Formats: sequence, structure tokens, C-alpha cells
Amino acid sequence: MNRTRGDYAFNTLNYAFLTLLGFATVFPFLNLLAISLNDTLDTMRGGIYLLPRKWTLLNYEIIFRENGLLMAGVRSVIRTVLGTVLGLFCTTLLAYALSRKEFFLRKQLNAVLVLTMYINGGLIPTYLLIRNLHLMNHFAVYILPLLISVYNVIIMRSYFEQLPDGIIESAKIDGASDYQVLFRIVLQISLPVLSTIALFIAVMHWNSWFDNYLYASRNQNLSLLQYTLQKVLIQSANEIVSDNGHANIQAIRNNPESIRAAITMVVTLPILFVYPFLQKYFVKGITIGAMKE
Amino acid sequence: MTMVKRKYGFALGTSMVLLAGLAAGCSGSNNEGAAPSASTSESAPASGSASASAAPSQDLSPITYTINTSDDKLTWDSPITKKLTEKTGVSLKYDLTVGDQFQKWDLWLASNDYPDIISLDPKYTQKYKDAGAIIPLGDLIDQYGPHIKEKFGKYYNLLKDKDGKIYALYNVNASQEASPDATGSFIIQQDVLKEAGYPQVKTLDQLYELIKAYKEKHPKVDGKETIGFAAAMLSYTMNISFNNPIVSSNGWPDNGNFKVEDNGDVNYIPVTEDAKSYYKFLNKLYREGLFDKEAFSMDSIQAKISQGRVLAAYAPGWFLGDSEKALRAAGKPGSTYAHLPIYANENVEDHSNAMTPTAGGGLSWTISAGAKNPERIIQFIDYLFSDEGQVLTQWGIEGEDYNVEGGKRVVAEGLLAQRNADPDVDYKRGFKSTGTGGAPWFGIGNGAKLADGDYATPLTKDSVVQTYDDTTKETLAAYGKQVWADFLPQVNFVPGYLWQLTPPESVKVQQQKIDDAWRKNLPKIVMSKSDTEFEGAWTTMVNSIQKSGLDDMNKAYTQLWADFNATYESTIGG
Repeated sequence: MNRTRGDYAFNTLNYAFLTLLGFATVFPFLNLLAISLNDTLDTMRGGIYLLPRKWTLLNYEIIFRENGLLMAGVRSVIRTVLGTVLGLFCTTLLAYALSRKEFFLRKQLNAVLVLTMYINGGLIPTYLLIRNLHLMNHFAVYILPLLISVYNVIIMRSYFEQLPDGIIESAKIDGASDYQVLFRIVLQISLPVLSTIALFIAVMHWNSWFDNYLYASRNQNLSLLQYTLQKVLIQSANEIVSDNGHANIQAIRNNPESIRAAITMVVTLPILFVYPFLQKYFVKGITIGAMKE
Repeated sequence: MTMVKRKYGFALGTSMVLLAGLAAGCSGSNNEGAAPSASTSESAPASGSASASAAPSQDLSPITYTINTSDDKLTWDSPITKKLTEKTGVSLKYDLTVGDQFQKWDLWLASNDYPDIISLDPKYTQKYKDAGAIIPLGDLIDQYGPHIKEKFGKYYNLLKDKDGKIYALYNVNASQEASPDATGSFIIQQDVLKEAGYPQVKTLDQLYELIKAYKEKHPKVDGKETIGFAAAMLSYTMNISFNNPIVSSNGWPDNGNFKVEDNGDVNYIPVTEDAKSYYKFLNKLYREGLFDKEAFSMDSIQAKISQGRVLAAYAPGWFLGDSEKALRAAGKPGSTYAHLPIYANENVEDHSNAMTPTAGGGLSWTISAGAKNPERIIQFIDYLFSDEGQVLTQWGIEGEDYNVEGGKRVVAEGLLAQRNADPDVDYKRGFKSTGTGGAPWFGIGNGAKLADGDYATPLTKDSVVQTYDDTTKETLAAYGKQVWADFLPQVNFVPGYLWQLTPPESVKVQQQKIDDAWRKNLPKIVMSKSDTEFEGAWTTMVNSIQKSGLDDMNKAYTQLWADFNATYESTIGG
């Protein structure tokens, strides 16, 4: 291995550049971390970069003081697990059926599904539909409407389609039923796409708060983590304004910037820790889906 | 043949699984729906023929109504609200709208699924009225609302909609004076005043001399450059920094971006001569290096203020947020502000301290067509308007929140101490309510008096002084004043403000273009380096705004204002 001076120069520059790029990516996050750990009145004066100036845990205390945050977290986890398992199951069944060339409704069903990607009902009709299905203020509203995502179905279908037909044929010749073929053969060799789709669905469930806000806001016992934190944030922003209409209150409120920073930490850190372990599937999965014969 | 059958079977199997899932979800919903926690409006118990009530005329049986709010901390589990239930039988259950409440209101209206009491703004009140979702209240008030009528007095007719019926209830202002916590909107650091020996500051020129002298002596604050006069440009804050000071310094009532001339003509402020002379003042500051160099960036004003670097600015109290608290916490009380009215010249007559007789234009309470026993809601609101209800909701409970000393109500020491320690104490005691437009629980205004001759709310000069620190008291004493509100002129009543009215749809596009032209050209004007450059930039802006449809917009607003005033005159007479 002979390295020329040019190589060294290139490497040095390369590393310097990558370090800078890395820092630029990490900095906003570290900055938020510092703000979340800094005294709220001190933060208003600006100039917090990487380290907090006046250390405090009060910003986190305010978030965790919110009633039912723990239960909201538990519900979010249940929703994510349940939603992912059921969603993956249904997506798999649909995608497999659509991938089989002998399925007689294949073309029509494909067309219908793709259509829904371009045209959706709009907010109010969707709201009325959910209401008329009696899903309002019920846990099922988190799961049922999201069981199938056409985007995921298409990725999975493409994957199934590029599996060699021979495998399935030979299994059938050996007397396997359709279910046996799917569960014993096809799924066994489809782990990458399954984990990708599972991750897609899980992240979607974990992040979503809009359905909570729209369909289940009247039942406090259905509040999810994201929605609860959203409430804390909006509340803190409103109070800063409304307090000044009532000069009586002299106690200090935490300003929204500090609370936003702390909330960001609370919601991103769990995902951040899981991510490295799933990332390899994530990247692989997307490229797999993109492959077409 | 068998092959085909099997494939059918598979497809069917797939759909069966899906259907089964759906069915499971639906049946599950019934179980949960029966849980006691479910909080739809249907679950409000009907007021039955329950227990005999104390007052023969009024039904005091327990009844729960739902009401929407965007305030997550409101609770019915507080001493004052419990007392309200005791007096009226009514409990409120809050239906929380987080985030975009307009979207929620639309969805509710579309699905006929709204709370019993709906807190709406004027625009949505119209929408709901047109859809028949809310009921007219006039007859109910005639029958059950003597106190509502009494408190509104001659302004009662203002509640009426165009069709002559009343759909919404909100605060009435019975006060004849400015609230003791009102302040002028120009701010000057108290240290600046102190060093100059507390001179009279009445005009912008005097202000200029003051900050110029101070900055020469103190070019830096904690190693950072002193900012003579700060401003901000981000989104709506542009109006506060570059429109509202023109309004205040000329002593006009605040009609947003518009000036109402004596003859009723309405003119867009940023192109008036008054605007030009204010921008000239800013330009003078700029050329002397006194104007905030970051004023046209996207920074907010609060960080700079919290650092103690800003000597003066135009900033209403609420705009400062907690930055003055931050300064005090950092041990710099001298860097907090005097809040003064300052004028374009000596001859300005100040009419800016205007008050409207009601809080119309903000949120108000409407009663949904689906609410059971709407008369109970009116009785509840009527209780809130009664003197007893006013004392309960504004002062609290005697012996806990206030005491009577020498025949006067005085806020209890305990409550004062709690307010200094716990920012949420007003929620916990029950002083907070939702959506009545102004003061909570239909309060009738700081400084207003009840029939017993005592103040209707605890916010008096004395209570405001109690919240001041020593520096502030010293500054005020030097001017022979007690509170900042003492610097303000006499209150004059106006029917309403232009910004409270729904903007005319017909000139929406023009207005957007005009605002854009203003935003785009203003920095060049303020930052011009010579008089000729200033004139040039000014002419460019005026031309560009005129081309964007200025005349159309002014005409539309003149019409809007004339219509409003005609309605006001006719209703208050009728």
C-alpha cells in the first residue's frame, strides 16, 4: 500500500469536510439539548450553543408533570406494536395476492389501489366516514384506517414479483396450499422487505398525532404521546401571551422555546436509539422495492 | 378447474381476514363507548325533575354542559367553579381543541357534532347561524337574563346580529377608565432616564436626544453593541414595529393598518405623510448608528431585550413577553423599561387610549341547537353577570381569595404569595374561563364598580403597584406618578375598531400585494444613506403600493367602516 502525497492531501481534506458536515448535522440537535437543559429565562437572552449556561431539569419536569404522560406513552407503544403487526399482516396478504399473475382481479384491484394514492376523500368527508363507522373516540381509529397503505403494498408486491416463479411452482407441485406457500416459503425469503415495511409502519404509527387530534380528542383515555406533548407546547405558547393580559401573575413561566427543545429530546431519543439497529434493513429495503424486472 | 377454485379461495380468504378485522373493531367500539370516560355531548345528563331547588324560580338540579376551549389547563375541579355549580347546578365539561381550532369548528359544523356551548369568533358565529347550528337567545334572555340586560345597559342592542336577533354573548365593559395595568407602548430603559435626570419625554425628538447621549457614554453592554432603538420585521411583528408606532405617536385610535379620517375616509397608513415622517425619524436613527442593525432580519426582539442591550423601542407590554422578568432575574432591574406614550410632535392630541363598550369581535359564547334546556345555560350566564357572580369569579371566595377590610374587598395575602410562586394558581382556583372575548367569566372590566360601590375586579392601582420592583417605583416617583397608566390620556369610547371587522373579501388580493410591497420596500427607506435616497425609496414604495390597488382597498375599507357605524348608530338607538 503506497500512499502518495496526493492521497494524504485528499484524505485530510475529505475527513475535514466530512467532520464539518457531520458537525453541521449534529449541531442543531446538540444545541436543542443544551437549550432543553438551560434555565428558561436565561435562554431568552440567547447565545446558548453547545453547553447550557444555567443548568436545570425544570423544562423536563414541566413535561413530565403533564397528567397522563406515562399512560400516553404506553398507549403510543401499544398502538405502534398492534398497528405494526396487523398492518404488516394485511399488507402482506394483499401484496401477495396482487403479485400472483393468476389472480383474476389483479389488474382491476391494482388500478383501484393506485387511484387512491392520487385521489383522497378530503378532510371533511373522511371525518364523516370515520364518524359514521362509529370509530370516533375509539382506539380502533388508530389501527383500522391505517391497516393498508398502498405505497407499502406496492413495494412489497414488487418484491414478491421478482421472486423466482419456480420456487412457488415447485412448492405447489409438492402439494403446498396457497397459505402454505405464502407463510412457509415466500415470507421466509422476504425478510428484508418485511422488516422495511414493518419499520415504515411503526414510524408512521409512532409519529402520528393528527388522527388523535381529529377523531379521539374527546376521550382523554385515548391520548397518545405526540398529542399530549403537542398540547403542552401549544399551551405554553398561549400562556405567554395570555398572562400579559393579567398583570397579577408574577411567577415565571417556562418559555415555549425551552419546552419545545425538551419535547424534541423526549420524542426523538427513543427512536434515535432504535434506529442504528434497524438502519441496515431500512436502506436495503428501499432499494429492494425500487428493483423491477 | 380445481386450480381456479383454489385461487378464488385464497382471494376470498384474504378479504375475509380484512373484513373480520373491521368487524372486530366495530364491535369493540361498543364496549368502549359504554365506558364512563367517554365524553361526547350525548353523555350530558338531562336535567331531570330531580330534587327540589332552593329558589322556586330556578332549577338547580345538576346538569353538565360541554364547551370548547383551546386552553388545556382549564378544569372544573376548582373551588370557584365548584361554587358556581353549587349556585346554578351547572357544570361545564371542557372539549379541548388543540392547534387549529378553525378546522375543528368546520368539522363540527359539517358533522353536526359540537359542544353545547360553542365559543366562536364572529365569522364562525355567522357560519353556524346560517347552518342553524346555534339558537337565537333574545327570548331566553328576556325571560331568564335580567342581569345580562342590566350589565349591558344601553349597549344591549349591540349584541344583536344583522337580523335583529342575539346569537352570541361576550363581555361588556362597564369601566370608565383605562385599566390600571394599561401602559404606553414606547419603551425606554429606566437607566437611560435616570442618567438624564428623569427628563420629560414627550416627543420622538426628545427620545432621539436621550438615546443618542446614552449610547455615546455606553457604546457596549456586556461586550455587545448597545442598540439605540430596536424593531422587528418577522411576519406580523412588522405591524407592531412599523405601523403601530405611527398610530400611537399621532394619537389615533388603533384601527390596524388604517387611519380613519374625520370625514370617515379610511386610508392605508404606510403611505401617509405621517408614516413618512416616522420613517424619517427611523432613518435619522439609522444614519446615526442608533437603529437596530438586525431589525430587518428574522430575529425576534425579545432576545436582544433580555440581554439588556435595547435602550428604546416600540413594544406593547404583551410583545415583551417575559423578557423584563429575565432582566430582573439577571439582576439588571435598571435595564427594564419605562412604558410611555411618545408623540410625533408637541401638538398631537392623544385619542389613542380608546375603549370599546363591548368585547365583540373576539370570541363569544353561542348555544348549540342540540343543547338540552338552553334556559339553564342562560341562567348560568346570567348568574355570571350578577354582582354575586362577578365577585365570585373575579375576586374568588371570601376568606380564601379575598377579605373584606373596612368595607372594601382586598385580595388575600395567601393568594398574592401563590401568584408569585405558581404561574398556574389562577387555573387551580378557577379564575380562568374560556372564550368570552375579554376578561374571564364575563368580567365587566378593571376599574368598573358593582352596585355595592366597590371594584368589580381586584386589579386596581394599588394591586398593580404591588407588582412593581423598586426601580420602577423610583422612576414613577420621579415623575410624580403611581402607575404607568397615569401617563395615558383620558379614555375615549369608540364603537369598535376596524381590525375587529371581517376584512372585505373583494380586495383580498390587492391587500396582499400592497402588504408585500410595503414589506419589500421599507428596509430601503429606513436604511437610506442620504435624503435624496430616502425620497427616492419612498416614492418607489408609494408608487408600487398605488399600482397594487391602493384606491380600491381604501374604498372598500371606507365602505366597511361606514356600514359598521351606520349599524352601530341604528342599533344603539333602537
